[in-house]
Amino acid sequence: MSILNDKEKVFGNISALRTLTDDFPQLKVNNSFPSINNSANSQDFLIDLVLSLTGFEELRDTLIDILSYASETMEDLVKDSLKVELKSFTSCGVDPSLPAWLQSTGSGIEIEVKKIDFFEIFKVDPETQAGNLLYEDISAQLNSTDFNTFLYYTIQDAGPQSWNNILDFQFSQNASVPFNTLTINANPAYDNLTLTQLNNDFIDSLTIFPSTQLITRIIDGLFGSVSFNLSVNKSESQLELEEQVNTIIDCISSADGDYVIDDTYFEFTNEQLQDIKQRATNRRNGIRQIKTCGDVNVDLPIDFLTEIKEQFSAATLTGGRFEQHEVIKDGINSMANHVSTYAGDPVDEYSVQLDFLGLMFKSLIRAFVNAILGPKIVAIFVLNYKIVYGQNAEYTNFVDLLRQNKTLMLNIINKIRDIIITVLLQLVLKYITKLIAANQVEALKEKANAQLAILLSLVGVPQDTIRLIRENSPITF
Amino acid sequence: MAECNRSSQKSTTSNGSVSSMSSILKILLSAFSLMKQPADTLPPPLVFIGAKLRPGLSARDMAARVISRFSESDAVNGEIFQEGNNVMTALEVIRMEEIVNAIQTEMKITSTIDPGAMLVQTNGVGNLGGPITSVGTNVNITQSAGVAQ
Repeated sequence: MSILNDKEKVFGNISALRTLTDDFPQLKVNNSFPSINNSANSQDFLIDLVLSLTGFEELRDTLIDILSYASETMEDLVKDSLKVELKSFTSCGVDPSLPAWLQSTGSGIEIEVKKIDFFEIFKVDPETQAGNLLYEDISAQLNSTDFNTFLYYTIQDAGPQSWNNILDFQFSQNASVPFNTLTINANPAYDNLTLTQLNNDFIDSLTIFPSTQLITRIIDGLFGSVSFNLSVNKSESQLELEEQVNTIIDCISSADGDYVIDDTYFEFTNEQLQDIKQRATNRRNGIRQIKTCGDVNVDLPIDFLTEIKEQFSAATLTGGRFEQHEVIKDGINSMANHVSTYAGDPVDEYSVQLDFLGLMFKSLIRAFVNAILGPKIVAIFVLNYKIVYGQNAEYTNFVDLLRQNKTLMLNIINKIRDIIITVLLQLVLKYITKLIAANQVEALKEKANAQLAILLSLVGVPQDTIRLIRENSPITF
Repeated sequence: MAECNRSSQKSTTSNGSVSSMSSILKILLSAFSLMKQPADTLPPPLVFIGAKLRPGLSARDMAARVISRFSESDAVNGEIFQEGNNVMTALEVIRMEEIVNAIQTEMKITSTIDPGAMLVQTNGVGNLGGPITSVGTNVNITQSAGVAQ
């Protein structure tokens, strides 16, 4: 009750200020904002506030700031968090030195590729259009600075390959179950070092959040642009698994801080399962339903993402941050324009564009967390998991792995959420301050005008004359 | 998105994070509550003279002025004083009548005068140590602050 009341108060105050202040576009505030409810999801509430306060350009620029600048801060925070979590994960009763079986001369960890590649990235050839979006530094192949690219080419290669002389990987197709496995050993340079040292160095060697990959993840999550592509063609069951993970991320990120995140967050109600299936089916068909006068199926072809990636790479080589910012800006503009062509009525185009940006914002946390749940981080995580639970320990599926490590998930999601919320809150406060300042000016004008009218009335000036003077006064309100 | 499963277990310690909904609502609502400046004081001599010239409140005049400005807010106007049946204008007349009636017949103003604000000059005849009867009058125009109830 109180959350809903307070939310309505905030919207009501903004609505009142806008009505009383000139030069601000009128606010379309009504209960149709989905966040005006008792939910504790602060991100969705702030996005709805931003949507009602700012225009398309401001919202888009904030999104770009998060994707390009805030993601760097996020990368550092998430890496620190991962290091701390992995350290606490293995600190209780675990020998800090590397177990003999993990050292370069040991048998290592043998794990099926699909158990670290939940999003089936390695099924996609980096040389394809979709692959170009999922991998970085592709031409360097085994010497790539992108761990995913390195591991893809390791899987294509017969011999053992070393990632930055930290961990060695060898792929084996195997004639019997389990097929397609990776054997992971510590590099000889780490045989005499501690597990913490290996974890920290490995995490530092990764780039987790490249900007264009985040955009790809957001758009693929919303429209299935990559999953639908012929070279990827993800199965319905794979997409359902991905949507299950997205549902868990959404629920944890919108959880009330006063409640414990327990196993219930990793279970689904019938309604959620129905939602998951619907979203998976839409992504498999490469569409998303948007609401205008009715539900319209919208697609967003992969070409938009390819163009952003190509131009971004060119801008990185020839220019600086400004050029990169402009590339992302143009890309978002053209995608928003494309989506708005489905509006039907030209009057609705602008609101469809705003909704599109709102959707992108709402998918931000998912995109960041999905990036963490890729093979890069899962590989080192599985390594620690095996050290703690035993060389042959297994988890049943991805959701099970997440459930077993919910503290880590919660900490990472909260860190990402805090940064996004801070950026959104700053934007909302900036606009509220502008509104309040404009309203204060109007209030002062009104006061001066009233004082003038009172004084005139006291010296016997007739009401009609006072009205005439007020209407022509330079401080009319 | 469908409703999430929710734990029934409450955390023993609230995280108090800036991202929590209660913190955000507190920050946003406090942004709206600004202190306001007190109203300017009117020159006492002007009030002394001018107040006597005021015509007093008229519900009809007020309603007429409001109705004449209906067009500014795209409200539909009508001939309320000549058998008009416009609900908006009729309502406006009722509203103004009630407001004026309440002000004229129910409002109470409690006012105070600051200590020392009123200078009093008294005149009396000496009475050889006995009590002096004097008649006083305030010599300046004094303002008082009042609260309408």
